[in-house]
Amino acid sequence: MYHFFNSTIEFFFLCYGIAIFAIYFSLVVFARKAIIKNKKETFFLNVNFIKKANNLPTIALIAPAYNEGMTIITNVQSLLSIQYPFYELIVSNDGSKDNSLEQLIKTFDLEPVSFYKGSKEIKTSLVKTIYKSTNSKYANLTVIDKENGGRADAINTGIAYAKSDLILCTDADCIIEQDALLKMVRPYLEALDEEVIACGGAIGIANDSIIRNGTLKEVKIPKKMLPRIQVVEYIRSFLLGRMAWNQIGGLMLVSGAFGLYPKSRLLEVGGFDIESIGEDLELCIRLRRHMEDLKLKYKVVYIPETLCWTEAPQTFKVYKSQRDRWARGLWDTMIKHKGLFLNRKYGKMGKFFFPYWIFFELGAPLVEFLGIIYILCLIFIIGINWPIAIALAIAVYLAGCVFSTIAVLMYCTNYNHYSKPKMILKLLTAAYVEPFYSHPVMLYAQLKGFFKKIFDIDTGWGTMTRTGFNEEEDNCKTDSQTK
Amino acid sequence: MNLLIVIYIVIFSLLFSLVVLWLTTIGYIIKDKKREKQYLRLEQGIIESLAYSFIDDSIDKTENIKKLKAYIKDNDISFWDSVNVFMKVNRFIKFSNNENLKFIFNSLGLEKVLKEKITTNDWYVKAKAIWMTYEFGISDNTKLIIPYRNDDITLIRRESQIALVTFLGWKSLILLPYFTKTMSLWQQIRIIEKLHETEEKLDIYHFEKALKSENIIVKELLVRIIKSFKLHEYKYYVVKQLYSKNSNLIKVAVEALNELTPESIELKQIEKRLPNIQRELVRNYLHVS
Amino acid sequence: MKKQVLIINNDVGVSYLLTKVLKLPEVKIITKNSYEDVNDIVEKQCFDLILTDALIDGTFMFEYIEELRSKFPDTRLVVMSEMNQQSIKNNLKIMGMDDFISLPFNPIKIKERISSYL
Repeated sequence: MYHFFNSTIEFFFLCYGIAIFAIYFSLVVFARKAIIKNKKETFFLNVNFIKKANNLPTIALIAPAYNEGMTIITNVQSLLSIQYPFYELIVSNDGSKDNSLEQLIKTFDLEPVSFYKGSKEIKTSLVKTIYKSTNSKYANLTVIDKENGGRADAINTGIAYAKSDLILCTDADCIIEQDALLKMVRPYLEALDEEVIACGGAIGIANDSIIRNGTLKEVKIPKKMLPRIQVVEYIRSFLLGRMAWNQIGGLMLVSGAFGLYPKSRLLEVGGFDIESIGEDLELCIRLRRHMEDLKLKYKVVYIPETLCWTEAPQTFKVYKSQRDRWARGLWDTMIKHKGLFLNRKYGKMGKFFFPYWIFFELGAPLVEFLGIIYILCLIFIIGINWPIAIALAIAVYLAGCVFSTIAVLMYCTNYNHYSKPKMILKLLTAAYVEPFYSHPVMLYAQLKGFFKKIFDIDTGWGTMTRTGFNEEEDNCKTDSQTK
Repeated sequence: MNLLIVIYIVIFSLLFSLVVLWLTTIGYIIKDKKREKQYLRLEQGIIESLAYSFIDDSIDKTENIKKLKAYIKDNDISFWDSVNVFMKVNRFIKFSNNENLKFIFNSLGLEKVLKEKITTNDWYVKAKAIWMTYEFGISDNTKLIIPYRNDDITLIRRESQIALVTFLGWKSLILLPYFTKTMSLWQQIRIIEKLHETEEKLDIYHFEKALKSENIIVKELLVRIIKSFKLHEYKYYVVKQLYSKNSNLIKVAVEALNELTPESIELKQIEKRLPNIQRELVRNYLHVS
Repeated sequence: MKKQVLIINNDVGVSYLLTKVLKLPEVKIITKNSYEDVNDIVEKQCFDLILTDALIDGTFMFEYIEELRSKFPDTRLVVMSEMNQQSIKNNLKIMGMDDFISLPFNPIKIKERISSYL
């Protein structure tokens, strides 16, 4: 009976492993196709031609701000540098307790304006004042001062008061490339029968890069190993993962840090869910369900270029809390939308994409955990066949290395952020070190997150110690600041 | 034992693929750097030739072109790289109006190759060739492009239709009712742009023929044209679209009316008639906060 | 005394093209391709004419024009850009631009216009 039990468990792990391998392999194939297709299409929509167009959709960029005191002015200046002919910037001050608002009022010559009650479709917490600038240089800036309600609520307020066709949601401390909107708007310009309901872009890691005047001057590889590993991880998940899902129409997640949505659809679904922790994934799924219910053709699109740069956790403490939060958000969203699971009514999303997320995104840490327990059992109780176990471990490790190498290669051949050989070498070494260095910590954090959800322990968003981007010529930003 | 050997084979093939990947990466980096340098040099060369042609007829003009031709041949520079430089220059100095540019383009043999590319089987190459043809105003190739105006492949269809508008101007609008497949916003933007660039005046006969079309997308395009060219005499057509069943068309019509006659009675009437969401859209235009 | 003209554009090829097109007697043309370079050169010398693109990487369009205008209150500031929507042009004018040249241009006419400014 022992043997039977053994072999079914081993058979299960074998199947899961082969499934993951097969999925990753297909992701590579699809991603490559998608990147080539994307290059062909964007060749025609050259940024220089979009610049002079007159019937472009108008875009509102919403940046929620909470106690960003030390960096708020540079952040807003950086967001104002975005090049797009029909563009407004809405900063949503979510009841900051520091002097962010005063700084904004002073620097941008703001004064209060009268305002009507925003769109009824979205409920938001109380809006105290809306400011606009008296200086025509800042004519497209609006600052909304409201009571604290959380990030999702702040963005919803921005949506309620936006005048534009499209909404770009981002974080105040992300650095967005200046031509990002010109590129992100492409899917909306080219849409035919299928309406674009969300457009996401790749996010890059800008730790230790050169930033001047709020714009990214030169990308550099992070000095510490942990953020370096995250660079590779982001490349893998954005370039391989999302591009591939995009190709088969299965993209379920558009990052909350950089996502472009049509305002009308956002209003229809009621904006972001303020109760949810993984609000970006949740919104995406809700938008998709909405369109499926309306029986309209739609697509969620993805731009493979890295247009938004953010700061990744430098220390394990922050890294753990971030992954913990992501795990809890994932769990939350999967539970909330469990009605999708294998539900024929929702087409491919119900039959394939949602189940994939359950088995291989939610399931992966759990299966890994069970795997570890099983191996420990084998070692200490039943007896393990060492040669096979070690050989298997090496094979799995190498498979991971191959996929990471493919991801890095695909990125470097298509985009020139990491074009120097030294940079590529550093990235590859980080990728090969990842399974030993950061993966166990990530696994631990994810399991902790699930554990909290199963046993109903709430720890909210946690604290994030920021070290700032180390702006040149600006010496007051190098200290850490706890929110 | 069997299982072990299988795993050893797997390990070996993975290691092998890793090495292959590393070599590919190195090879790519080297090639890319070389290509970048070549492109900059090529760009400089073409612009210099152009510059020489401005300094009145000089013997250096033909000398320079010979040097350029030799450079392109020696370094095996692809056709598309050369054409890309011309596309960049074309944004600043319109090719079709400039004899010097045309001369350099033909001397380098690019026009002939472009013609060939239009008739190729590769849809991507074909679409690119059609695009360059109308950007450079090479109207001789119009006959070659006409067959593709209703092609199944979106890119080809789009570029051919824009090409026809470029070469035929307002007269091309008569073809609009026959375009059965849908048009993207980008295509509409490009068509309007090309209509602005054409030297002819608005051709009422052909325009009115187009107005009779029942196709929703064509109506959208026409409303945009009315807005862009401020054709107040066709305001009635825009107002008619406000009663359409298609919400997108209504939105475009509202935007157009707002530009033509802001604060008009028709806009205020819309506010009362439309359901919530559309009311929101309209309100954003009428009450600026 | 030679007139000093500053041409600013992110693209090296484009600024090179403009240099060749605008070759005029008694005119010295300097080209710069980034915001830092522009900042450097405006500290060092004055110009009779500045021909710039509206969009320069590293800064925000309206502030950039405003800065140039405040540094050189008497210099002719001409903007040549693809982004030629009416609202943008209006705002640039408020920021201090003297003239806007739309693309594409006619090289002969441009030469006349530029020399009339000098």
